[in-house]
Amino acid sequence: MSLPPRLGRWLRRRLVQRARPCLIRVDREGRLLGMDGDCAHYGLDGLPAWADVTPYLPLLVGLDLNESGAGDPSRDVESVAGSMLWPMVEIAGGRHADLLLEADGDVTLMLLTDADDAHARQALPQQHANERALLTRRLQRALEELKAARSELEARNRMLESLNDAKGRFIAGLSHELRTPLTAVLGHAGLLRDQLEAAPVRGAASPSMDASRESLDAIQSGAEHLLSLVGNVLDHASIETGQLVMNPAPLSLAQLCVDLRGLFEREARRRGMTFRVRADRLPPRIETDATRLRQVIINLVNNALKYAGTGVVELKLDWREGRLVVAVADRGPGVPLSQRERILRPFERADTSSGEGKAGSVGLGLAISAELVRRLGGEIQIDDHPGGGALFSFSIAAPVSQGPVAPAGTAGVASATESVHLLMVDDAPEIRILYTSLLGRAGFSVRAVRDAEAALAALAGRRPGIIIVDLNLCDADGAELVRRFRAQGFAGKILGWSASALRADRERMLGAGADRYLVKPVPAAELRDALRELFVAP
Amino acid sequence: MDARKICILGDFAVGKTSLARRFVHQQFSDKYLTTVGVKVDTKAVELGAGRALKLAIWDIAGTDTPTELLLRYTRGAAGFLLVADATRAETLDCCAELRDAVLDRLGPLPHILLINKCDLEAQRELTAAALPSPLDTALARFDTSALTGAKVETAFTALARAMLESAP
Repeated sequence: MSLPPRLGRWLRRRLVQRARPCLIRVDREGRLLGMDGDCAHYGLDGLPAWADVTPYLPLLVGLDLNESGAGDPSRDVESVAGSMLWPMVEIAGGRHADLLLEADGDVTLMLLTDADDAHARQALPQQHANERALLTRRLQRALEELKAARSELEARNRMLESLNDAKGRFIAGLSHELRTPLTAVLGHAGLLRDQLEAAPVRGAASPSMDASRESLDAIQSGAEHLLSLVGNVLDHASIETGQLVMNPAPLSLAQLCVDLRGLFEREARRRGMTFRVRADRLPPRIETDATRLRQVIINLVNNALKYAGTGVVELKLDWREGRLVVAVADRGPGVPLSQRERILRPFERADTSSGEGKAGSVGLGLAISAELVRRLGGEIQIDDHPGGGALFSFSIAAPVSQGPVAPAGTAGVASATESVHLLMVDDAPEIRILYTSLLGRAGFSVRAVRDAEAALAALAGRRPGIIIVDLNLCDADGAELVRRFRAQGFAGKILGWSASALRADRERMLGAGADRYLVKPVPAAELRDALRELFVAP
Repeated sequence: MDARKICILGDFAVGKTSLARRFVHQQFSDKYLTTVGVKVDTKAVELGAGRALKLAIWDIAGTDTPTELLLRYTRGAAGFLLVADATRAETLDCCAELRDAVLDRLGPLPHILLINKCDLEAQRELTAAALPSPLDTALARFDTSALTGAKVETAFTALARAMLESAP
């Protein structure tokens, strides 16, 4: 650029004002030979001639001023021959300067120029860049830690799933091993009782018959208690492992009331108490999981009988706007307000529990009932019963069933099903004998076989209307047998059953082609209902 | 009093300026302020037996790779401190790179490795067991904390003594 002399002088003055140069000349020992320029800006004014400048400019410590530029490799970069630049050096007073060193014979020239502005311009972006890099680095580290934690969690999850599967298999096995014999004990005790009741009046009044009834009572009571405990433990495990599934189906509320009266009236009398059922405005049939609803009500009534110990236990069923309202009231000591939430948790019992209530319970019944009610669409409430006692109540979604209405009453069932031929495939002889007898009384014609081979042979003979198949057969998988029935063109109904309440087993059976799945022990009434529904269903 | 130039080298944000400030002024601030260029400070170190040394301490802006400018700043140094951040393992690799470049430029010089921020025990990535061998050329290694002052004086004094002993 070529400037007129006057503009050139102005520009030079301006640049000098901005750069605030200070030129220092020292000899090879670092003694001051002379200074020129804005020395005060760098705190160097007033230095006497021949003074050692190193104490004032400590950045000269270690620097060999005798070195010539020719042998110094640093002088080949960013510097002209024989000189060196140290930019942005912080000196006394926090000022920043660029320092240019240049050897000139025996004299070293040091030119300081102001770098405060340049430092200020660079500092902030550099600060931001470094902070960004640190944050990025921390973010990367956090992501790596999250990734590692996720891998560890996934590994643990896989291990837990594996343990859960093992637990599920154990539950299924235990369920089968315990429930099957209990089903037989209870069922056959029921058959014996029926035979006793049907005996001639004279014989029934004899002392030996009374003793037999008492023995049967003891057998049934003990087996029911054991079945209840096993059922609670297994249900709790099923809930925890996510295996519990609800199976909505049409339910006759009238039949439910009859069953519950039959179940508890004698028990209440035995305890010197009264059991009443009040039913208002009930539709004939509702859609819900009948087994689970029945389980909850039985549990609440059983609790009331055990803990109240005296007076009346009343079960009230009401139906309002698509919901079934159930209430169980007793005249016992009630449940203190402070314990109402706690007793709905697993393995918790009311502090007022004593005697029979405490001895015969592991504290799972109410917790399971609360969970079942929740899954049925409601919530158990515990209140004081007016006049004393406890009131347990809940309401659940219970739409009126749109399904086919089966003939009501035993006679109707018998007439509707008397022509139905049933094929039952179950490897437990006690189960075959029991249900052949129960279903025979209900009017079905039953052929019971023990294994898949016999079942397939039977299918080639008289064609059954309904087949009942156990999931765990001695020679085959029940679900596979169902698949073979279907493959051979059997178009009738198939009811699968098993002592296993596991979701996977249920889904396996239904997936193979079964129309219904029931968990043993299946009460006679429930089995009759299920078969009746299958019989009339399209 | 004899004077020596020492340089503090390391990646950015490892605590070089905090170490210098702790050593020279016995102060600490947890606010991170990036160094641009270089800061020069001095302090005399008593080495016993009547010996003392004045240190001109060059606190050079952090960088993860050796640059020509950094090497130019080191001219005239008689020793150097390499600083790594105990909470960032990769800053140790940076120390090795800087060490190699400086020794290549200036020849054999005493140097000491500082693992700084040792007060941050929970976040620590660099432990004694984890230190790799490439830095075994260092005269010593100190776990320091500019926050608490742990081993800071010791490290500077050790380097001062080493420089005096290695002086021709």
